[in-house]
Amino acid sequence: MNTPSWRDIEQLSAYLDGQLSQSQKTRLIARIVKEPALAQAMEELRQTRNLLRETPQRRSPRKFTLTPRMAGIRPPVPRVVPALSWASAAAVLLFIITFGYNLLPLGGFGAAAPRAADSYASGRGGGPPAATSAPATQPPVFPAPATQAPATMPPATEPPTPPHQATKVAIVGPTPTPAIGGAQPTQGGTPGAPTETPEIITVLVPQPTPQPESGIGPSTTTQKQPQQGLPWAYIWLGLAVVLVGAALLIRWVNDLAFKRSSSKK
Amino acid sequence: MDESFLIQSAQHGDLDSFNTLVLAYQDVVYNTALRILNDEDLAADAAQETFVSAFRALNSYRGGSFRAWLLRTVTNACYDELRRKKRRPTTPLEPETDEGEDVESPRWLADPNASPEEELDQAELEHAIQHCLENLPSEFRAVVVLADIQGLDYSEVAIAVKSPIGTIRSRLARARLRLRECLQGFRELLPVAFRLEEESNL
Repeated sequence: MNTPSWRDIEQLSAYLDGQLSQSQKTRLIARIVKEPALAQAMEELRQTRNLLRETPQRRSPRKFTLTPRMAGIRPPVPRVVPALSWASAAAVLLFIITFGYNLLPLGGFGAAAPRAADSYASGRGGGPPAATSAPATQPPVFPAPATQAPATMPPATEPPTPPHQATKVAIVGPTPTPAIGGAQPTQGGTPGAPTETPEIITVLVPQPTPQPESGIGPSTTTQKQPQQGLPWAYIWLGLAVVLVGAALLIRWVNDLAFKRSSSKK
Repeated sequence: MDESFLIQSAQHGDLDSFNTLVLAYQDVVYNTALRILNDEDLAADAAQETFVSAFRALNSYRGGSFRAWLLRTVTNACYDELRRKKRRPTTPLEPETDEGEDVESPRWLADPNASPEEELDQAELEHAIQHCLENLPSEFRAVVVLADIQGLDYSEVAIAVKSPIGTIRSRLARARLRLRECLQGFRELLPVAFRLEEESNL
């Protein structure tokens, strides 16, 4: 009995799988009938093949479905985020400008106040003089006699007086009132009459301020002038911060919704 | 649902469609990996890796048998794992005779958890087949697993292992012959029909 060759085994295996042409199949069947060794080899291959095909299929130990993270899928970017990302750029730019402007000695919101105060104190720009410099700058404004000025003016060491109070003093100065503390009586006054100085002082202070004749005095509009430009910068900055916050919030909510929908799957 | 529609949707990034395909093919992929690697944990890892790789490379799928395309991915993953195991060899579990030869059917190959006799026999046979598969070269093993255990035809196997059909035919014949010789050592575990045929030929 001839032992089948490798080629015979290959042909037998292909025959079992139906991979031979009709002519090859006819020739092989003729040989199998004549050669018992070939028939036995074919039977062994058939049994082995059947045995393998009956091997039980195991069930998967778990599901192999993919999560978005495993698949490398990122949550979609909301449409508004690209627009709002410009707001973050604007916010950074504004912050740098604001910060840099504050640091510069010539400008900045913080440096603008002293400059305005200087011009205010010196009377430039229509501002009233500062309280501490009142004795030095006010005498030209007062039309009152020189003898009355020391009695009505506040001393330099007193707390700063609001500018409108000083103006009031200047207006009431010409009133024929006796001087405080035995000062010389004014023209037309009665000599030896009792002094009514305390009453005069209490009347002077709370009086409403009439407009100064010289036109150099303070006004309500000139007092607010140093703060111009400041609120707008903060408004823009605040707006940009709000936009950035909104962008971050939208992104966060979007990511959260994406994670929830992913976990449900 | 139509497989081609699911594949097309998955190619456009629809993960739900792809996961439907995963559920349909996960047993085939897992079993193929299990028969080639003979390790449940490694097989599960290979199956998961296969589906991740398949989703990322889905646009390279150009039609044809999707099962063969998937099994090609899992076969490659198994080859990688086998190469890795070869680089880091482990101590063989087979007991040796006094002459240093492996004992092919140790008693502890049987599944100790199986209580009914039939289940025990089935488990033992499965262990025996798996043991014989493991003795095959990896190229032969992949071909016989795909063709005989998973039931792929020659053209699908050729796609899965990226070899011509002639090579598949040759490898399959040799693999079957080697398995036949190996399984003779487990004659008592073989099905009755298989044994009767064997005994009648003696």
